Amino acid sequence: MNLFPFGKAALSIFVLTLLAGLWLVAQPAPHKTTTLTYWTFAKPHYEAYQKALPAFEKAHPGVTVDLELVSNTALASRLQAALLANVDVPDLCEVEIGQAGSLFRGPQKDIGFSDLTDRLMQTDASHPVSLYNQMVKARFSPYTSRGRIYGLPHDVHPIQLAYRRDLFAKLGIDPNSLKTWDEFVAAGRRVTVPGERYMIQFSDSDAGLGMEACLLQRGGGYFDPQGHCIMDNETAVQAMHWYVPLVAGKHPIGKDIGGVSSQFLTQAVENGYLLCMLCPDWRCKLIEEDMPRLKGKMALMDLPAAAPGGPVTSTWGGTMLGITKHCKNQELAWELAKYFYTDPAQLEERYRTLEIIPPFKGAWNLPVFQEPHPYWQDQKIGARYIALGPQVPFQYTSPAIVTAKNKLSEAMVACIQYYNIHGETGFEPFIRARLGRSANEVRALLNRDPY
Amino acid sequence: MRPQRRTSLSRALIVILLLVSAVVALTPLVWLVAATTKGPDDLFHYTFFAPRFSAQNYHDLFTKVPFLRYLTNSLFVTGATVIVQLFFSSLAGFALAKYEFVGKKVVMVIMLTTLLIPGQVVMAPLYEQLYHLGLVDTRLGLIIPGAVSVFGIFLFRQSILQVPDELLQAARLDGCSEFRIYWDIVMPVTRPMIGAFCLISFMAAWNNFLWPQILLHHDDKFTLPIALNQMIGIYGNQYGMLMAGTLVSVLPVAILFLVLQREFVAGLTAGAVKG
Repeated sequence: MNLFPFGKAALSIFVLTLLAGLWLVAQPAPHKTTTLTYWTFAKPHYEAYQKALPAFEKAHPGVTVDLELVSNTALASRLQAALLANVDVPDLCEVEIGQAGSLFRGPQKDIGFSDLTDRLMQTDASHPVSLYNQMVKARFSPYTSRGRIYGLPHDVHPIQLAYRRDLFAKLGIDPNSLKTWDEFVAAGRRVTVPGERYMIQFSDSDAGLGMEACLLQRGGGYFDPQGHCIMDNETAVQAMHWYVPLVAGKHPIGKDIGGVSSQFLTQAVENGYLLCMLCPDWRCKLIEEDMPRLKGKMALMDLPAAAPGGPVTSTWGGTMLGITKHCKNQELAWELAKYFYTDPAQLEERYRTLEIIPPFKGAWNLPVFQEPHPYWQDQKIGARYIALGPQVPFQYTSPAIVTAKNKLSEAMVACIQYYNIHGETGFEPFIRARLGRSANEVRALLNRDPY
Repeated sequence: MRPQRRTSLSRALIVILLLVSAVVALTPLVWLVAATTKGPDDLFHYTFFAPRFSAQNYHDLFTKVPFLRYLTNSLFVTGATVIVQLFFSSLAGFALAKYEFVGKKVVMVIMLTTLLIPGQVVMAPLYEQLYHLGLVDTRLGLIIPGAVSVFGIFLFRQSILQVPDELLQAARLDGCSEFRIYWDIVMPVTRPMIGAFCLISFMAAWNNFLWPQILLHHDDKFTLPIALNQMIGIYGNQYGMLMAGTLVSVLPVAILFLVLQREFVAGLTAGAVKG
């Protein structure tokens, strides 16, 4: 009888498999039984928590925490499936802001996350100020559904403008004089040379890269606190009317090239094709790593206000931590959540690694935030972001948030097409009608949900 | 124009066209190789090669992340999937090609119909099933669902149909068992198809992304596509390492193809010309 009749090809694969199997048997991964399971989708969080866990486990004898790094693209669908089927549900889970709303679908009693509202509001003799009041309140809004809070915010993510300080000086632009968007646009019109140089990175196809931040800064958004769609209200119409001529028509000052991080973007900024970018705190590290040659040539400035005296920031991105109802030890999970999200040592380490400021105001006086940063011409970037923290706008969510974001982009593209052909003629009625259509599609989706 | 001149001209045009196509096809690969040889300062500054060569990305790949483990996980899972799939698919193909039984046509129709169902549709129930079997976050959970391939069964059935029945009958007269007929007679005869199947199946399992991404939770079990995807983060991308890892992950498939290309081509063209 033939020992292996499948030929050389299969035999070589078989031998390779055997060798790989033997290597894996010889190098077993450490296995431990766990008290809590914690899912995160961000590798830097995972690495930071891995460093921090031994201290927590030491302070809680007998407790072991299993940290799992789950891909962000798989997390929401996997978590949703796990919660519905009640299989393989983690005890604690970090969720990206854009996906959080979709996890609050259905009757409140059926939401898979524990209601944290009472815990957050709790005060006692040793804690006279509730945790809710020690955090940036606006950051609870994306994780609130029908008045109840289901997530602890990981971050604040205020936006500043990152700009080419050397080129601004060369072009005679004083960043201190750009207090409002009108002043910024006027300066932009002066220095923009179509095809050669643009004032700011603004997208004409993805509302998430420009339009959304401007809408939030003006007090608009996708939903109101009750979850009603408001993306066609007067604020949204005016924001769209203001934004579209910046990226379309005969004198655009905004252009998107390369998204958030890419070779195209790096070269565009290095070559002076783009002068400014929206820069939430998480993007600082990204810029430093992607554009190392611009060290000392970049600086941060406040976002121009929509109107004099208005907020000089907006917000972009975020993460929440939720405790699932499946968790058997809710108290311990809450302890761990507080340890990761409010312990000053953890927050200092997080800032050093990611340059992200925490929403926990009790940590804002840490010396680390006052350190000058050489990449940004010794600006104290931590302190700058912290100063903007209280101005960060509220952004309410809904199970239809993903659809709403897509519909805003669709409406924006349609408005840009209209503006390119017709200019200002009939533009505002068109915006009103187009945003209305998008909002109605979102409302129709919400109405299909009987809850 | 003389016919010989016309032939030379058309040949030159074809060569130019092929050269242009080759440049278009190879540019991303050259970009990838170039990216792996650039340090962090040069990575985005130069479109292709930088004046300074750097092996930093390869060094980081094998020191900062457990890349060898990812590579071994991929080799094990892929190899095991191919071997298991090869055995069951060829066995089922043999039965469908050489045995007559009630419901054979129905079985074939049902089998082929399953090819029309997108894999994503069955992922949720499959996940639940594997969870109850305790196979979530295990390598076995990656291998078992891929143990039988309808495509493979169909491929082997078509190939084994070419094997003369007289050969099988002669073996039976000599007292050969049915399994031995499959093992000692049918398989050696269908070897070219096995080579082609191994390569196709290896590539599919090696590049499998969605299912391992859903099933695996701990990085000590991650396969290469999942590990590489983890280098794309929300706060930053380890582009240099990602490119180096991508290049290294392409190598096993490329080597396998070079080694097996004769069998692969023979398998694909077997039966194409009837004698």
